[in-house]
Amino acid sequence: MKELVIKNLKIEYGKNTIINNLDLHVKKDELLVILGPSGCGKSTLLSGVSGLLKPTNGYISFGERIFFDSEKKINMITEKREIGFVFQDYSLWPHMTVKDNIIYPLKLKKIEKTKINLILDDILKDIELSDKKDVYPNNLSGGEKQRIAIARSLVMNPSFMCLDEPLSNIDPILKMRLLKLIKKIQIEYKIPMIYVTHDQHEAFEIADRILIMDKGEIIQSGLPEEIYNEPNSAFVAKFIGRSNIVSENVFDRKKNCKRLVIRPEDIEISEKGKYVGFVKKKIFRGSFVEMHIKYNRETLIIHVNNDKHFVGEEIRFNINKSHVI
Amino acid sequence: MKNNLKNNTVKFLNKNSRKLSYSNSSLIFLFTALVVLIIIVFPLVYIIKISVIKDGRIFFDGYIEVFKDVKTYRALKNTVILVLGVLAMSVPIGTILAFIRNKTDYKYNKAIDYFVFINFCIPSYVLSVAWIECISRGGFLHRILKMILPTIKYDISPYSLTAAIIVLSIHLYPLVYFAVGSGLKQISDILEKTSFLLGGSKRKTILGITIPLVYPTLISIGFLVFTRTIANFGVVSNLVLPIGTEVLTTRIFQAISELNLTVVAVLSILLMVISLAVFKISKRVKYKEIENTNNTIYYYALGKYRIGVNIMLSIFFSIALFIPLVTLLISSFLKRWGLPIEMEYLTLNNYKYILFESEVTKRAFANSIFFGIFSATSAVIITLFILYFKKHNNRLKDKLLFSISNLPLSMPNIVLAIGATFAWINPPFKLYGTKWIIIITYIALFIPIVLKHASGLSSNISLSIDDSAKTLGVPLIKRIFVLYMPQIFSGLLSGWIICFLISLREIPISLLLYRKGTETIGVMLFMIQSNSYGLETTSTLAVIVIIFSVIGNVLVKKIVKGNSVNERISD
Ligand SMILES: Nc1ncnc2c1ncn2[C@@H]1O[C@H](COP(=O)(O)OP(=O)(O)O)[C@@H](O)[C@H]1O
Ligand SMILES: [Mg+2]
Repeated sequence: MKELVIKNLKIEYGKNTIINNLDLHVKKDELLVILGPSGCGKSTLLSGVSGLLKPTNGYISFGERIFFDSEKKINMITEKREIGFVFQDYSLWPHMTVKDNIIYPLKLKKIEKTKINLILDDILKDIELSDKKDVYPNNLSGGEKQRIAIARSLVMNPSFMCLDEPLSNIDPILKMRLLKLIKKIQIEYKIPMIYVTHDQHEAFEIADRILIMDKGEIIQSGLPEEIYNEPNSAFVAKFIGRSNIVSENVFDRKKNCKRLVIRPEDIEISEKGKYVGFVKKKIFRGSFVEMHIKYNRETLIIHVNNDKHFVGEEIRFNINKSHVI
Repeated sequence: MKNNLKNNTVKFLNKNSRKLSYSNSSLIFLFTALVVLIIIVFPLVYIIKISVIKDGRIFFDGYIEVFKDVKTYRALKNTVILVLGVLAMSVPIGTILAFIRNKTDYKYNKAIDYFVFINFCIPSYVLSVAWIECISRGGFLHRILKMILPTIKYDISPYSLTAAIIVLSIHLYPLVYFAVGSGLKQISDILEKTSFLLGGSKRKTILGITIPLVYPTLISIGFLVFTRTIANFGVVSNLVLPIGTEVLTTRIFQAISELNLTVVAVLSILLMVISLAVFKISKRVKYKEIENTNNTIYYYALGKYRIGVNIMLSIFFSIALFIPLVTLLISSFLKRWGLPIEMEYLTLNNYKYILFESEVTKRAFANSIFFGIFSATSAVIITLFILYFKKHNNRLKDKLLFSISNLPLSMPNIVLAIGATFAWINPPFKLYGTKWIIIITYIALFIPIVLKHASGLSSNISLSIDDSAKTLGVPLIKRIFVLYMPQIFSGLLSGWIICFLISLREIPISLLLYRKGTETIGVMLFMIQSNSYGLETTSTLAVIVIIFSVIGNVLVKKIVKGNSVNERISD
């Protein structure tokens, strides 16, 4: 099976352990998003996978090919791993035209000219940039550069792809378009992908599966809905969407103090509501209004669509859904 | 209270009314423009005039004579060989060293920096002296060979075009090293890593990505090496002229001694045109911006090549640096050049003689220091005005002034000196033979150098600083000296020091313009040997000049840290 397997991976910078005991599977044709705050070790992980960095310990393989095995002292050089890699900073070579950038891997493989041109035309069509063949990268926008970088790694016919925050420098509207393009490419080319980001919106847009990472460890892994609805920790709950994290005994004195995650949209204001609080603050957020409600000693955040309550007013509400962590 | 304030403000504004400040501005501009015209443009115009006007009539006989003369073509051919040779040697050497220093995990990379830096501080003429001391008959190489093989027949001549190529390459490779090094540092590691990821080997990546990324730098630095080489006078007159081979600069020098002024003028124009053309073409080279977005550099592992690199660098620096330095040092302590190196023949007298006894060398030191301080300071002030107007007014005339002031940078020193001779030899402006002709020619030479050092800083300054000062009624002179100058001060200062250093080693200008009483150190370096002293005194002077030069350049390095001067000046 063409799967990426990582076992027991440890990566250190000098004395600092960045990745510790990490296990990871990327299934055939899967687009796995690794989501985590800046500095949590996402890039380090990808460097380890691609061989740009030598892990201290562990095992990495793709299908039959073993990339790294600390026990058997195997460490395949980066050139041989055939991993499509896209960096945040585009990494296009400024001294080469778009065409020369893209066909670089083909030339390395000594593929004949006519075939190169066919591949080039195909890929340029796929990334919708056929007219930019002879342009130098400096004259391209960020989005265009990143599409070229993706194309360049695709022509190599990689076993799988790593994208390290590829759209972080791109403005929000274009970002959505490019996410769709990446997804389309992933499906068409049937390539497993690891897509790294710190932006949950990107993750939800594109992921087959999401992996939440913090401080070099995997905190939770699951389908996007699972991650959102059933966060397994306060960290995940806070990192994904907005949420109220309160102790159970705030609502029910008998229970002991496990913690609850309540999404703002799961609290409903209702005249016959079970709980009574009062409005502390109101913030207009465009499509909805965010209300801060004082209840016992906690402040709960609620998203509502209408704005008929005033600050200081007493209101009643129900909790439709909550999740114990 | 409020009334009081109002009164004061009105008074203040009156005192510095716009009209007054405007006329002040015109006055200073006029003064600056006049200085630039007189010291830069006037001599150049004179060269052209001499080349086409004789007895009040226009004639082109000079051009015909020059272009019919086979000597011209011989000199041109030799110049081309010289330039190509120096390019072929200095560019690869500088590039390879810069690569090892900046792109590999070589352990002693700091040492490379220091060695290249000292190489950079040694004046080219001094290197050529060391070369003669090493290679000539009875020189150090001869003696060593004789020790090993007592019967050897030694017939290597230190004088040849090849010798000049080697010496100039050793002198100029540091320019390549500095420029390529700073280019290599701009390369973001991901550009190379991407190549590995796409299947490129180290060799392919170095040759296909890393080095091509600095091609633009290589081309523009190649042009600089080109202009420096054709402008060189000291080395070629020392190593090539003695065997009768001529290049353009020495051809001009010969024509001067033949007193054929028209030919001198025409040859100067020829040299100037070539220089200027190369200079202009070099400005045309388009840079594809490389920017290091993530500030990390990829270092290639040397691995098994480490030993080879060590050996190669040891050999190179021995030849380029240590042998010349040791040669000069030993010679400077010898009682008489050519004596065996034994205790009884060593002495401190040469230093004593040069620093304390000889009236001429003492006077030369005093002259060089005075000319240097005076010219560098004047150049700084003129430059300050030029830059201020360019920055804040940027009218056509400001830009024009700026461009004209940059002209001497692309002109060989010998041409500047010839222009000065022509312009200032006749009354009423008869400066020829006085110290002032050297001083104003130095000023012309220095203005573009200071400009180069300070204009980077100037372009970073916000225009609103001056505008807000204007609205507060601060007068022009204050705005220039109190607000503007401090912001570009480090540039002006490093430019000043560089100019001062140049005046301590400069040869062609002072050699052509000096008279008894206005000798400079450069003149002494060049002449002292023929003044019945041997190479030992030249070596002593050379050691002193090198020490000055190293100290000065270290100072400049300290000051320049932070602001970027991307082109260094050498002579
Ligand atoms: N070259 C390096 N040397 C030392 N520490 C590093 C280096 N690169 C990254 N780190 C550290 O490793 C941690 C993870 O960094 P990184 O993998 O870049 O995080 P992310 O990509 O998730 O933002 C950070 O704490 C960072 O400071
Ligand atoms: Mg990162």
